[in-house]
Amino acid sequence: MYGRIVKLGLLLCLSAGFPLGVIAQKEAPKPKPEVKDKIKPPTYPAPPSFPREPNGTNEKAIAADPNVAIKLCIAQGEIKINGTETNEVRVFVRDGRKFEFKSLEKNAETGKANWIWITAAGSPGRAVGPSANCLSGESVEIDMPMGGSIMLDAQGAGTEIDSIRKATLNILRGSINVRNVVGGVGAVVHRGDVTVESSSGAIDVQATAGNVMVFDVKPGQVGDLLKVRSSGRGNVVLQNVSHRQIDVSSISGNVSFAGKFLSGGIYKFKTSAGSIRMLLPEDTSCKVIASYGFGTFDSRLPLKIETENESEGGKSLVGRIGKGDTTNVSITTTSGSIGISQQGQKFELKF
Amino acid sequence: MNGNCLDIGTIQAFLDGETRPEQAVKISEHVSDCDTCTLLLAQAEEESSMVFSVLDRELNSLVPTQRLWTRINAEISEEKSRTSVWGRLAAFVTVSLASPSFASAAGILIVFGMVAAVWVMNSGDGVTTGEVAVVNSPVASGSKDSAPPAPVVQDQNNATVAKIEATPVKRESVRVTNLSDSEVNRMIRASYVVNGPRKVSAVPASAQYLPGEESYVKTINELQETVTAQNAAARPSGEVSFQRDLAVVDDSISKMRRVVKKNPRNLAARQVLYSSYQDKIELLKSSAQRDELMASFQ
Repeated sequence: MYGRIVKLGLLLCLSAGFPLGVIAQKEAPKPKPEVKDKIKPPTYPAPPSFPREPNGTNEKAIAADPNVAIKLCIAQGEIKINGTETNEVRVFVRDGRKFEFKSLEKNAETGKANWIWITAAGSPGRAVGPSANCLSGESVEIDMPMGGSIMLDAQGAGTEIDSIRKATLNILRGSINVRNVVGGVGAVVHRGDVTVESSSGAIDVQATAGNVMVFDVKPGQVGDLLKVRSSGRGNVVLQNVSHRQIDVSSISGNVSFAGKFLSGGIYKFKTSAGSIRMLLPEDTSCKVIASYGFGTFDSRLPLKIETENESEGGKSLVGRIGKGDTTNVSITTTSGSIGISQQGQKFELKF
Repeated sequence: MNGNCLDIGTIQAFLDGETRPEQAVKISEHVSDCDTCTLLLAQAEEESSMVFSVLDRELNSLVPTQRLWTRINAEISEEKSRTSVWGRLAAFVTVSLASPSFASAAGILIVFGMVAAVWVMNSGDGVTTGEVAVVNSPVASGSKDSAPPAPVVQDQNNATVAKIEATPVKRESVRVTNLSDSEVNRMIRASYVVNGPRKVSAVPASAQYLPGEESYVKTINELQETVTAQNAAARPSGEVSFQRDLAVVDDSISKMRRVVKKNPRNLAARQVLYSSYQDKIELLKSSAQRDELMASFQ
């Protein structure tokens, strides 16, 4: 009896659930929004453009300290930077924006600018933004003192730098050619090749999708490092480099080194999927420490193996070429091959 | 040129990142030795970058084209005309339940009804929930009442001092019942509701780092968050090459990780693994730098 009463009460509760819920609503539900038959596609603003001034060639010059530092950004145009024996900075823009010099710092003795910012000249209606100060044109040519240094950000175009003291470059697209820079080179190019030749000092080159070629370079002082990074499929070629500290890495590209290892040097070569090829003179003396996951190791120079460990997926080898007492060469690759050959033997260095 | 030269289709697939990592490695090695294929690759890359720059707006998935909007409008109008009576009724019920007050009132009543139903069933058969065996202890049907004998405390003179009542243990409260299996399961579930779920470890079994790996993984995760947020504005061609390089590095990492896990004493494999992690960090950093530079020109 009692159970029946409870069951009846339960049934009544469940039956009352829906109407009670309806009554319990405090506010009426919002009306469903009407779906319009036609939806207008959104409009997007046009990308900013860099208007080319119709005035044609613009050329300006400013007296500068022999060790002047120049800072600028270039949105578009071929770039040429030349070192000259004159103590002035001369800028030549073909078919492009007007520009101006801003002296950020002057030499207290001579009164000449020793820190210059080259920027686009202000004009009404010009776009405002981070790139508003960038130069642009068909080509931009800068003549500056040979003892000067330059810091350049550029979006896209070829860049050539010759005979200055120091260059720091950050290029989005386009190839870079640097020669005769004596105080060091720092170059990052995200899409393009980099070539550094006949230069000295600390060299730090990074290419995301391009080849890197460095030849006839030497350190400016003891401890200067030669560092080369190729993130993509670009190859790295080093030839006749005299730095005692070299750090080279590539992900999918190949690494080629032709030259000699100096006494007391520390050399590191690393790839993920690419191969490492070395072309060394007959009298090479170094200690080789090689680690390779799935690749191979081949040396055509007499290599005295001290320890060797071969297991699936992880092989290592420590050996000496010649006396090999003061120079360390570390070679690491995951799936590429390692090859050491003698100069003069049939060996092609190519991309 | 030799007989193993690659055809343009393979080269294009390689550029587009559509080849497997092992195949990409073989192609890369062949290209490094073959001038003809190198030239073909360079030409194809140049053409791709030109095409991508022209089709940039169309290929950007964040910018729907006019065709896409037309298709969306056509689908909406077709669906509206196809809705049946039952569909509209279901939509009405769904909208009604979307109201918080309506849903909460109905939910309370339903829960109350279920509890009442369980209570009714339990009280109808005379078995209380609290006396049923716990989750971890299965009910042994047919087991006899097994109350242990009360321990007897004796003093030195062997006189019975007191009979200590056995403290009721859950296991001892199992009674012989004539319940069916389904009813027993219902009772066990009710006990689960009362006792709560069993505590499990917060650390998943898969998150087991190799020695020295944790710092690399954390750094990579932080960089990847930054790069993922920035890559939304990257050009398609740049994104494809970045993903391709990332795939090569990830393949290296996974291969070497397997080797090191299999043989933790393989120092060479560990060295190569750490080197691969460094490669990935460098790759992510370069991507972040590229995106920063792109942003500075926009």
